[in-house]
Amino acid sequence: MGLFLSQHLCFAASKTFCITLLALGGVALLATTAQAEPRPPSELQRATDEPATILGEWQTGNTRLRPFTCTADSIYLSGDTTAEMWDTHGKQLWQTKLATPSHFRPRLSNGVMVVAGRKSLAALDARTGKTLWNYTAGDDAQLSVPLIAAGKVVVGLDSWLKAFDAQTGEELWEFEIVLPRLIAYPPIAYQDKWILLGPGDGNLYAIDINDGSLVWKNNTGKNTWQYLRQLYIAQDSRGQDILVAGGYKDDLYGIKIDNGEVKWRFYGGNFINSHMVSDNETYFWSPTGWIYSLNVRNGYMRWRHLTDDHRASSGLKEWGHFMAELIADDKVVYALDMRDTLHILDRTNGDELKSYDLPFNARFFVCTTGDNKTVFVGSQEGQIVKVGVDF
Amino acid sequence: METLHTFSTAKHWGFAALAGTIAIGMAITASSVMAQDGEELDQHVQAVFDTAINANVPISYERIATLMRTDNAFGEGAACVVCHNSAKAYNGLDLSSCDGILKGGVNGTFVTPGKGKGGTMRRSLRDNRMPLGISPSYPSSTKNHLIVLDWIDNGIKNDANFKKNVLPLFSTAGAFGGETKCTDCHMSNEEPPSFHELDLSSWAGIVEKGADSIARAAEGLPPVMVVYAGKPEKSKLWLRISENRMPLGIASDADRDPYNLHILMNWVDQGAKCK
Repeated sequence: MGLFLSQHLCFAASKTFCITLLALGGVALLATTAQAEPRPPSELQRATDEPATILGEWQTGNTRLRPFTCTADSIYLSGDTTAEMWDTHGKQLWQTKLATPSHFRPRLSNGVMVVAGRKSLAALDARTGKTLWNYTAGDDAQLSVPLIAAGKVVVGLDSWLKAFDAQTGEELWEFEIVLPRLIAYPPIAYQDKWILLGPGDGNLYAIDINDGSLVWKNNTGKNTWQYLRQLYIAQDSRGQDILVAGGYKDDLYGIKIDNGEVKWRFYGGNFINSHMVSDNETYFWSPTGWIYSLNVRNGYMRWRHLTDDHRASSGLKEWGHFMAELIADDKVVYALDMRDTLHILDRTNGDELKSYDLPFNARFFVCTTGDNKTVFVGSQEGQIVKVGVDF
Repeated sequence: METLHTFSTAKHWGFAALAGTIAIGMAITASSVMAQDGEELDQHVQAVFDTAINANVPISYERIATLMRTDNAFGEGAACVVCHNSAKAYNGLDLSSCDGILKGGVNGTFVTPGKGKGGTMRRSLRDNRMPLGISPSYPSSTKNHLIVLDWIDNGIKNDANFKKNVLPLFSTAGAFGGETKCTDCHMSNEEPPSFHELDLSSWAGIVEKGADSIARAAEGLPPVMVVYAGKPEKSKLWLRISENRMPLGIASDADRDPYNLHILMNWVDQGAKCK
């Protein structure tokens, strides 16, 4: 707008005045597109460590738990031995023994719970735990993290992407990526019409969810990422859909959904093991020692919070490293570090509101029912631990 | 049109090109790469990458000699020559002269002229000792370390000794110092994801699958083998639990790719000439 006005006024003004206006216009334009300067670490609030309030500890049938899937009133879990459903007050609603260990977080959709490990997958009735069907990989084959969407279970089997009817297990279609690459991480569904997948062949695929046919393929990744590890679809602040994808190594990408074109890229400085998207924001921890929040529309940093001050200049206490995926609810971000400290950050500005020391060795995940009062963590001994939070 | 962001803000990019020429001179000449509050460094880093490293500007030995004498040149810590000099060449490595750099030390060739990633230089400055965050003063010749060394020396066999004495170490907290288990972070393909796609929970994972197998396959490359029978000096598994990252005491989450490392690698790529 500033430039437009300046250009038109130039016809009727002196050269000096014109240049001034153009400069002002440029500044105004820059101001509208530039991201805000992140606050320095010393200006971000840090909470004092305090002991966590344990509201419940309930033993599951597992010794090694996978991340939970939480809903408003239930916890769905799996581990090395069983799949289970619990209510949030400690009552086990069902338990089903697994044929092979689960390695991935259970997925849930329309009353079906998919529990998968590298060797087999089971679809369960989410209300009763009754096994609907099973699928087992061959001796040397490996399953990927599964997806359940549009009444289908979609999962990678080595270099094949396979779709099954979620209720019956009937195999519906398969799609082969470039051999001999491996599909290891989950695809994502877009509007229940496409499957988006960034497997280990450098391509990003859009596949018709109904018949497995190729909609489009973009090979941008051949020179940029090895594969896309985690995929999220977000709606930016302008209401446009965007794919937010993590590369194997150090980059996070904002990708156009209609053609796979990379719109923005954020270099995190080291491996981004996992990122999380909530609303039009994405969050991740970088081993360079920061938790970042970006705007998904343009990849601009909203804020970053120092977790490890390797320059030793802030005087702040160092946090542990992070394996656990960050989790958000409407107000805060939950970050569980490997020293068993749960950090709660304000979503809007990255301030640390609370820091809870957990009195047990935690598995590397946390889940929330969204009540802003409790979170659930798994212990290294296979327990569900209900932790009270107050911020 | 793709937009790249790093730690720097967008407005920095607006004048990055203009600042580049100035920044390159300042940044390379600076006696320290450390910023006071961790905020001011980033634009200079990008400028150096853009203007010198990616452009493969010729690097003289004089520049390398300066880096070797400079504190914090490769991350927070003492200058290389504090410990590696002609009077006291720790590990037989004298980094105070070009001849010394080319000669290497008891751990082998430090640099391989023409091959920036060759020799021990890159891994010494880049690879963190495991478990992550362990003190550099923790001994690397404990009973547990020597069990692993012995297993590698004797052929990395999948035998009773491996199952009884070696494998359990990787799932034992503190086996090699620190508080964590190796398998906390290196447990194959599962959620949350395993670092480096490495599986230290089985013989096949350690010996056959190695590290970065999926990612490397995407580039048409074999996995990084982490153990070599009879060759601990080549085995990353051993090196990672026994070798400290340089400069000694550097934090494990310090930048693995400081621009000075790339300047050093460019010099090696350009032939590591002593002039």
